[in-house]
Amino acid sequence: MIYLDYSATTPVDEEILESFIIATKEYYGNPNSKHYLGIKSNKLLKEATKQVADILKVKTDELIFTSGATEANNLAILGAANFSKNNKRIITSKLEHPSIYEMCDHLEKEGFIIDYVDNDKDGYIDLNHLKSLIKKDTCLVSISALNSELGIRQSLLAIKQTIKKANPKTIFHSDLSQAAGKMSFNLKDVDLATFSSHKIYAPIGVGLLYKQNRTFLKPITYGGDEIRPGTPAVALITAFSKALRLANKNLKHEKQITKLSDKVKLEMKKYKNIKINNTKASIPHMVNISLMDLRSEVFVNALSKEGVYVSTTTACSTGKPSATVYNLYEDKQRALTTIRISISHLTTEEEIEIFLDKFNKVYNDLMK
Amino acid sequence: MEVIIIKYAELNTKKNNKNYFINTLKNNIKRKISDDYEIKYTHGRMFIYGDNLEELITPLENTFGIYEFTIAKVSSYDDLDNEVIKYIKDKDFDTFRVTVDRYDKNFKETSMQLARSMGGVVLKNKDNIKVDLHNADFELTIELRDNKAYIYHESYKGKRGFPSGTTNSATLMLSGGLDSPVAGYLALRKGLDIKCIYFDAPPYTSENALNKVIDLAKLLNTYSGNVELYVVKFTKIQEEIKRKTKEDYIITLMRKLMYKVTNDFTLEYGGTAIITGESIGQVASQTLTSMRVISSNLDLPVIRPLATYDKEEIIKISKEIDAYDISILPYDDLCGTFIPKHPVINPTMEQTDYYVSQLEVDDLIKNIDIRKIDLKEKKNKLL
Repeated sequence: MIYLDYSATTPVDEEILESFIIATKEYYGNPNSKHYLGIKSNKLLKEATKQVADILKVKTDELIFTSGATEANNLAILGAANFSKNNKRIITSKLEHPSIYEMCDHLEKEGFIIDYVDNDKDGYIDLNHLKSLIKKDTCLVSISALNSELGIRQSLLAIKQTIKKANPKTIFHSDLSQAAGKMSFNLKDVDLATFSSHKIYAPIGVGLLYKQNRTFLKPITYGGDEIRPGTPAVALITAFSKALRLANKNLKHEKQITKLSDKVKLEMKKYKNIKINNTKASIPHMVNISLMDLRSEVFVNALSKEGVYVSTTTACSTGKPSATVYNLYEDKQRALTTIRISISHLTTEEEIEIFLDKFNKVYNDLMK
Repeated sequence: MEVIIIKYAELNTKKNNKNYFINTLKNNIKRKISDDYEIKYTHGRMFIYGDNLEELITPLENTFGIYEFTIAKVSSYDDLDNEVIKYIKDKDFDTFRVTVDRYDKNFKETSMQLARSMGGVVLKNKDNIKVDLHNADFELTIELRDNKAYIYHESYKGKRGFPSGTTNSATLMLSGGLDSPVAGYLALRKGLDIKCIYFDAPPYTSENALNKVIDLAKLLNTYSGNVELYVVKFTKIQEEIKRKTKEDYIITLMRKLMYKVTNDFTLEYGGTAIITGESIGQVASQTLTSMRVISSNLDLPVIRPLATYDKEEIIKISKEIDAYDISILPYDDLCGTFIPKHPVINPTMEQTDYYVSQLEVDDLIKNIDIRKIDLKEKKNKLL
């Protein structure tokens, strides 16, 4: 089996899984209970939270654990929109995850005005356009640090400076769920940030919203005093905390990943019709191509039969054209036939060789 | 190359002990930071060399004996122009000034001359900026000492005071409340080595209350590195007091015996004082008459750093030292659990002595269970 879909989700790391299992078995007390078991769970929860805060260089009371990145994005965007009474403008980019667009569509129906900021041909946000879009009543800007399809990396600092110069009250949210473990970032550059555990080798089921203390949100779920009520998922949060610690170490693998990624791109260039969609703003972890002559689902299925796992656009929007690719190249066929090959520090050269072999076989079979 | 330059706090007043103070400060800093850093010092300044100096900002901000510090770029005299150009490149400012401190009297130009020529270098190498000697938003400082130029623009405030461990040892009576951690902090700032003592009385006090005290002791330890915590099991003494004393005197007796235990504990390890968070008139047991009755017959002086502070001032410091959020967690300590409806405000010596004479606590005090708590942050292996 060759797994090359790490941007969709990652296999759970053995060490992290072990922490999760022990935490589930031995720390089952409700962290809000006053007895020994509750206190024990609470202590682990606090330590896990503290570790996350230390790694991200923020305060523990600025962290809100959620069920995943989608909930964190919802809490950030809906929470900020609903908190602001008269400011009905929201800005986002044309490079976002589909879940952000769905939410913006929902808010548009509720009476919000959604502005889409342009980007240049490499995918970098057009800061002058951003500046011109920010009005007195712009309550929120949401731009992800790392695009999930082409791996386009933005400068959070430059975006933040542009926003705050134009309107200091406008909140800046960034989805960092793809970014953690792949690029370095500074949370001082954002007001709200989303993280996900299953993108960094921890189990699915927990996410995180960083909310700096001067930013206010209206809760989207009710049932307690906290902004996100519910019994904390101690074992999942423990696993997430450990995963984040280990993910920070993964940053040093970028060279090795670049080597593998370059090899894939080099081979892809040999196919006359295949186009590579990555730009110079892309990180090496995702190679995104357009097959042009073949439907992506068919190709993914065929590769899957060979034991090779890649994805079409993002795992969350199968069947639709890639908005990111269309935005950059304005070519519908190109946007409809994308394949994302995502590489991790676990990927070996041998795996890439096998992948390229199988790719070639499947491609030639289907083109016959 | 970069270096941290530290200005000492009150050490200058301590002529004879100066070396001892500086050396202790060096050791205190050493304990807090990784061995990869190199620390050097002169009578006037301390220097720390190494990579990622930004990581040291928080630990140094929380170290006593430091007036202020800065992260400076080190340059030879010959490279000064180039280093200044590099230094200002990523800085964002509209107006600036250059200040020169010329400690190296062999340097060929005067401070004014160098400031002017460096101002010219800055102007030539950045667009849309102006000199403003009085209200600059960017002050570039160049210090000349020992054949090197140190370039910096911002400094960080230290906590002042004396380096921890340069005066005596004392015991802090630490509860989970707002006052005692602040009192401990102020005592630490005077260079004291502190052992904390906490009176635990399960099941009347909870494990959460104890954990809160452990967190507070750990917090105090971040300022010194030498704080210890001891937990006294007080339940039996507590129950004996409750059996033999009229309700309004329970708190008086309880505190008197806590002082006695603290006094004996302190003498045993060679400490010289007891520190408490008492503030005059704050509660019934903290009237001056109460304090007199409670702390009579002790061998050691009782230092009450907060005696004349009001609550608002105490809360302000508590927030500054990050103790507030821990202190306000709703777990009662012993004094909170046993609060009588009408505690005596002006207890008398005679009445107190009478109740003490009724108690059979000599053996309990002699054999009291005091255990030391490990304050080292041991990370849970699951993390």
